[in-house]
Amino acid sequence: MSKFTFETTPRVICEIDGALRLGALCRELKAERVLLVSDPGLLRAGLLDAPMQAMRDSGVQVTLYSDVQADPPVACVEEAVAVARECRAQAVIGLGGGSSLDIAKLVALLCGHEQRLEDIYGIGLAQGPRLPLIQVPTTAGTGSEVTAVAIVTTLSHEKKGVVSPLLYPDIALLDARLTVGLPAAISAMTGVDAMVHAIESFTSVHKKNVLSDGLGVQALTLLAANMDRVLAEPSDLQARSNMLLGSMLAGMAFANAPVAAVHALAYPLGGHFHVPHGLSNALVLVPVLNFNRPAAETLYAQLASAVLPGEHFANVSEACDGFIDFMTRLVARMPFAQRLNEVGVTPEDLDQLTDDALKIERLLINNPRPLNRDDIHAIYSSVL
Amino acid sequence: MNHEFRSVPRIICEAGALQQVGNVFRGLGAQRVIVVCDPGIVSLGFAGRAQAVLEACGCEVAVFDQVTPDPSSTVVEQAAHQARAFKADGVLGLGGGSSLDAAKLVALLINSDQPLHDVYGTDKALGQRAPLVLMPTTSGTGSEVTWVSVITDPQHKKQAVYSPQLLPDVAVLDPQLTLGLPPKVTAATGLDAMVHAIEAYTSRTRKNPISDGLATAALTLLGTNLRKVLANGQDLEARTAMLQGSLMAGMAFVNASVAAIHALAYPLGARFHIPHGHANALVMAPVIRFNLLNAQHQYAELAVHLLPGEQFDDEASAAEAFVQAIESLVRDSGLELKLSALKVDEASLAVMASEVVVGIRRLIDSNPRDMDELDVEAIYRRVF
Repeated sequence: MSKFTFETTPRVICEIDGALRLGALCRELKAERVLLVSDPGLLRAGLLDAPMQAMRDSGVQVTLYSDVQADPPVACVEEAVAVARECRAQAVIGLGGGSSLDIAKLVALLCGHEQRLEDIYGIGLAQGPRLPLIQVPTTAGTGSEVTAVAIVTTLSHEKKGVVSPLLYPDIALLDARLTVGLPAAISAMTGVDAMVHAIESFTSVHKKNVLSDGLGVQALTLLAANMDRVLAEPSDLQARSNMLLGSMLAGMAFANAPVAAVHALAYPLGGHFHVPHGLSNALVLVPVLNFNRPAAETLYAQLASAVLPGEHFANVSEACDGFIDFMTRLVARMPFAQRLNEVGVTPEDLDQLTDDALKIERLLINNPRPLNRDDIHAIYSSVL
Repeated sequence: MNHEFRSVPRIICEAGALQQVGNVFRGLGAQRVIVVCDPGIVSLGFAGRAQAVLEACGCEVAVFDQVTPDPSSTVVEQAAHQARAFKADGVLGLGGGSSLDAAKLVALLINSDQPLHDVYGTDKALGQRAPLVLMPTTSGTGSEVTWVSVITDPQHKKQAVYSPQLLPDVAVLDPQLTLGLPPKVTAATGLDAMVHAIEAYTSRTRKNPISDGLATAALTLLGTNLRKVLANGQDLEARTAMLQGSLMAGMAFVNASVAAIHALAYPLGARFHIPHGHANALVMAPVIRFNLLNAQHQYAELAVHLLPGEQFDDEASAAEAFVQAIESLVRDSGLELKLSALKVDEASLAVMASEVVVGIRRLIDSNPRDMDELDVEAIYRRVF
């Protein structure tokens, strides 16, 4: 436990309207021609206009690739790389949700060093250097701006990941102004996703360490204190900013102490029923917490002081109750589906979901309590 | 709401991690490594072990072992000269804060035409520094995760270099290297690290949620382990926690600022050659007592982290418990706590006080309670 390696993004800027500084930041990174990677929704919402104009005003030539889709296919990477080569981009900016940031990572990598995407799926196979990279998340969220992973969907509908420390950007830029327009359901799903990152990294059986713990606790403190505020007052910049910070800190934590059963059980829901990632996590979170309790009581008790600051508990068991109860009530009041049947899952689907979750051993092994087939089936059934 | 946060991209922590530095430098593409350290590190055998590990990985190695406490600009220039003559393409700083501070500047100067005095100040360094790995042997200064180097110029004036290039590529923590630290060094450096965490948390200028999370986690580690390492210097687990706490406190303060304790300590170092950690220890308890008037709320928050599990009736009693816990840690540190016993003359107190409020104003600006010359002199008198 006292032996660990911790890697992270070396520079974080948290600033309201920070996106208007992107031109100056590109110049600091010695780039005059830049590819901006984003999605059609942000383009339509007009969120890209001001940052792009600001870049042009500082003499940076910016080319836009805004065709990133959710669960981005390999073709999306190929297109974006072609655009980057065409405009001879010297740096890449990812501005958007997790998908845009993932595509930006891969473009920076593939344009910085000649290599084929299919050759670098897996851990540590990518070669540097990559192009300078700035990541600007517009959800709080995935934490992708501080993780070393990029996921794409292959032609055969398989999810493939590239894992490499080269994927940490030079700069993560958190601009709360970009998140004020997020619909309530998206704010809620992504916020709970970030909380799950903090919780699962804190209870991870592997690689948990003092740094991931410290960041995870602080992340959960910020997220728990601001989740309701952003739903009640979507344009509260302070609360939005705290959610972005919490999401990023949770990202720093889980990038170094990996997530576990909540994610393993969530992935099949995304794969089969196209349930958004954050919602999938939220659907299975509470039953997994209850299942883990016998093994994770002490750790959950420690997290109680993050979600309920100032409250005193008579003993570990009560503190653990306090934590699980807080998360249960929080998820229950979120404006999104609460049961699997609401997202199209039928009792007949549970076997398939269970089989698929069982295959995600790389995450299940991080869970504080081992799960077998029956356990997973029971968890899905409990929230059907 | 606006913050900028920088950190070392990679941290390795493991008992015996010295064995990994060869591979670390290979990963950075360095083949000719200069080790920057002091004669003590050589006689302990650490420099020789580093050299052997590096050579086993195929690196050529030179050792500069003439770093002195409060290193002079001349020493740094000599080291840089040796590094250039050796055609070093990598720098390993191995030792206390002085060696690490010198190593950072050597890495900066190797490939640069800038004379050392041109980089004094903030963001003056132009060149790209050579690959840099820092290994602290005290817990400590946190220098392995800061972008500051402090040296003494030929006029005996302290000069600070602030530049993001001074952040190393990798910080390597090997708690085995700290097992043999004498109790007085352990106490002084341990209290120094606690001051970093406390002053970062109460900083009026750049305090932010990230530095807060790191500072509180650091304070818990340091506060619960300082007495253990003082009672038994061979306690590897406690030594590990101290080294980790020191690193996290370093990450916190470099992103949030330190304050009056450091301001009052600097003249004691410059004029009377009291080691930096000891100088902090001398003034920390009375400064914290002085600050209580304005910092009660924050000290009460810190009480929860310094005294985990303890329950307090109200904010005032929590803050008082925090101040008393610090006072007792300092009292039990085994360090000489009277300025008069350290050859400080009474006439100097007023002179130092004026130096603090004029010359080191920026640190007083970060202090939770403002201080004028009379306040500073009164604090010096209390520990005279």
